[in-house]
Amino acid sequence: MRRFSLILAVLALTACGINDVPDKRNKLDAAWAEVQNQYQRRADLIPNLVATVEGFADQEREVLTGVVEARARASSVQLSADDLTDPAKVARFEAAQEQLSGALSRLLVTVERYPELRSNENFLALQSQLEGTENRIAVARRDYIARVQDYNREFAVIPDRWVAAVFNGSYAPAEVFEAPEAAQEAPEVSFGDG
Amino acid sequence: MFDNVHLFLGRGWVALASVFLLAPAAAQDFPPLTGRVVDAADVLSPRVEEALALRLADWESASSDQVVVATVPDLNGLEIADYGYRLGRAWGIGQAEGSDGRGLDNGAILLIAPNERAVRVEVGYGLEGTLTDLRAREVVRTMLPALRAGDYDVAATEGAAAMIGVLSGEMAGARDRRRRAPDRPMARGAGEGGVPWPLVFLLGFALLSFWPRKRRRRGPVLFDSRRGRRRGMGGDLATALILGQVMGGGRGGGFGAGGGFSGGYSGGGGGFGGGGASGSW
Repeated sequence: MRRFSLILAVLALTACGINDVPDKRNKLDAAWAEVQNQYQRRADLIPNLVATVEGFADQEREVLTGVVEARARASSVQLSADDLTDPAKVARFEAAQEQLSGALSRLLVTVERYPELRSNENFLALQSQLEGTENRIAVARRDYIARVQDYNREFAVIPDRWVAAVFNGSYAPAEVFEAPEAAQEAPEVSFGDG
Repeated sequence: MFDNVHLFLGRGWVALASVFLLAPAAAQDFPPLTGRVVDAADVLSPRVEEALALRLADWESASSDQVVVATVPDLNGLEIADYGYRLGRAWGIGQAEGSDGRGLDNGAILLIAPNERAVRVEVGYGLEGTLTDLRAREVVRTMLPALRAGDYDVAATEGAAAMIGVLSGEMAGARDRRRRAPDRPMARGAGEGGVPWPLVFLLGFALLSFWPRKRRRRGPVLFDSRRGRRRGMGGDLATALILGQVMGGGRGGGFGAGGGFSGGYSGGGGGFGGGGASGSW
């Protein structure tokens, strides 16, 4: 009888979710890895893009330098999964990526003035990849935010927060990812609809 | 002190309330997936719909790629790129997983929103390498003249042909996907997986209440079925009822959801991450 109760107690605890916090944390980390992956992909596109634009519009030094510098800054500010609970680090990461987004959209607006560039095969390919990457970043960020909500809920509602407090003391709620509206929008790129 | 309690409860309630408030917003209003061509905006002629569906079915049997053409009357106020991936996920277009256990996610949607004058090629994870953003953009551009002329039949036909053209351009890739695709791709159940712990728990709890008692014990008793002087297997009707309920529920939720066998059409649970290209006219 007693042994049976013990087994039941274990089952009951499993059902109540002592593993929920670690499980959700893993999903959160995976979602974050995807966000980083997409930001990295964007950073990887930039050297080619800058080289291509330079060939046609070298006089736009200032804008090009702005992109290169913003990329260097963004690459230097990494945010590992362990830092997701640290508001200051999250804010710094966000600011750096946002600055790069701004520099990129300035570049793409500038190149509108160069018709030969806009019909260049290489540039078109890079432009569509960049556009796609911005969209993937937006999707990855939305997925991540949903994961954060799901994860942080474990620390907010009853009885989940009690379970978390008793069994998952080493876990903390993640920083809610809030970017200004502008950063969530992909740079507006005209198709030059042929 | 009281403030703390208040805060403690307050945060919980806010979080709880937000869950309930968010639920309807999250359940987006998508047209049902009725086939390979979903003309919810009603802009395609029946003849073209049929021809398109045949063509897409052919491609699906050749490659296992699930390509769907959809027209929607509105985008729920979203950007088309935003709507597109949500639709793909909601429908689960593409096979989620190959028979080798690796992700397949070979779905794609040709999405036309006539009222927003927007078009998009939405590409599932697994096809992003073949139907790249650049190729997707070329597909969109081939459609723009017909869309500007208001000829949705031609636009959808050309768009679907261009997508299949790109996907079949690399025949080795398509054959590989076909080979890896599960045997009955469209018959995947929806709600499988995992041990139903709550069910196991309740089952155990119910059994415990049937357990014949030998003698009275001191200390806390979890569940006393001896009230009313009935003993042991004499049984607790309420428990039996609950048990029946739970088991019935388990059966319904766990193993029911087939789909795709009886002439219907369903997605294979494929994933989308925002690949593709959009355009407007």
